[in-house]
Amino acid sequence: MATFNPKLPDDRVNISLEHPLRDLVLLLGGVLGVVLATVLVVGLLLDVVIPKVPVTVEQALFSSLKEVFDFEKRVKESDPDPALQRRRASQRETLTRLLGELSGHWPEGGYEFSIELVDFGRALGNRGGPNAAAFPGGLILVNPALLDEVESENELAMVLGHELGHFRNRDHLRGLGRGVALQLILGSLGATGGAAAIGEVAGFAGVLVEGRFSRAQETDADRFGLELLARRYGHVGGSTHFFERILGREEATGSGVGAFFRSHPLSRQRISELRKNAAERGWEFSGELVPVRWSQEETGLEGAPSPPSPQ
Amino acid sequence: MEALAQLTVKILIPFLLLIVAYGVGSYREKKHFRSLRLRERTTGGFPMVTFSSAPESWDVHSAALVTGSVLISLDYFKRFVAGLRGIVGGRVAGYESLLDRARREALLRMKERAIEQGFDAIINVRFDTSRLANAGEDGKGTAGVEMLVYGTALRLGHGADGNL
Repeated sequence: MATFNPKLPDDRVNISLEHPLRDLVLLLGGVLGVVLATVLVVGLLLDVVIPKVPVTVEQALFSSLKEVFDFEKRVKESDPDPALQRRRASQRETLTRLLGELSGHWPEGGYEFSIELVDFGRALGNRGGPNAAAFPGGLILVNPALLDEVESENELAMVLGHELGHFRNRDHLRGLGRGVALQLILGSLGATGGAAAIGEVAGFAGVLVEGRFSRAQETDADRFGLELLARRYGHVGGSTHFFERILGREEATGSGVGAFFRSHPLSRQRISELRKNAAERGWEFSGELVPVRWSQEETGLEGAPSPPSPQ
Repeated sequence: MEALAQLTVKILIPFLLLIVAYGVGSYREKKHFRSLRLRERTTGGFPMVTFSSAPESWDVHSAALVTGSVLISLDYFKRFVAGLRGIVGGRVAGYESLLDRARREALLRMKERAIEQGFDAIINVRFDTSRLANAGEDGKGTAGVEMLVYGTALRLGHGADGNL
């Protein structure tokens, strides 16, 4: 005769007794650690390989990038105002001339530069946006809003010289390489079915690492820009004016945590770096500043640039 | 500040969700385990076996199909940790406790239903699990787990006094 013996089960047989939070911390730390390490290693490798790419190869590879930002085509399509078109054309002329003068003082560069005006503010849908950006192949994009603000040619030359500094250090290529590498890493994480949040966290970790590298690059570019200015004008007057102007704006929006994630150093730091650098190299800040003068025949205006047209 | 907004959306909010999910999830889990133990103790004397046919000594008067099922959902915390496990592999402790609860709950529901209807024992007890897909993630995510238990409940001739 079967006897049924009820026994309460040991209810811990089928579960793990590990504390879930400890599990989470170990896993998260491990995964993030590996991702960060990979990003760093790949970044270091890129830093070794990329500067070896010859300028001619780079220009050949990215020569079609200019067409994306084709000035003539864009202006005809989006800005029907002929006065504005003329103004932009003359600005482009002046910029090209200035760029030619500056790169003339950097003969070993080997780049054939080209400039396009792109209204970043309108394109990105937010107010502001970068003032100028360096792209592979020797393309420099300049925000027209910048041109309406500058008071001297020297200021403008500082901004352009800064971009030339990026080309010298091949920063634009580095950024490209790192971006691709990061996307590949994140993509492979996603493919294995990891939580979407992991991808976000890893991406953010990548941005943190990126932020640091970028700030060192920016400081270097500033230094080279200053040098070009000294070579072209014999003095470095006007180099800090641009940063001093946006310094007030920056202070208003605050720094702190946001500053940590900025890719550019704060203006205050940039100004002091520039002064320090100039002092080291014995460059003077006093000197005649060349006022910006957009070609008078084109705009029909005398002297100072006209106020920005309503957008 | 755009960077700050990005920081909040991408890190702070998921982190807060994790904390809340962990807190609420582990509280509910403990509560459920307590309820399970209590009900198991109360209904412990009711025979449930996996024999596919009744022992010959039993005097079976009637039989009927009984089932118990339960649907338990993952919380954000479990899902997150399981996702990490998906990269490195290993025991997914959160799922283990989830499934354990689901099994025991389903069994208890079947048992309680049988007791309600006056049955004396259940034979041929079988389990079935299915994963509920998450419509949002293209069917790849797990919205929850359904545990189904079924068996044949028997009404026996002699009263259920432990001796069959």
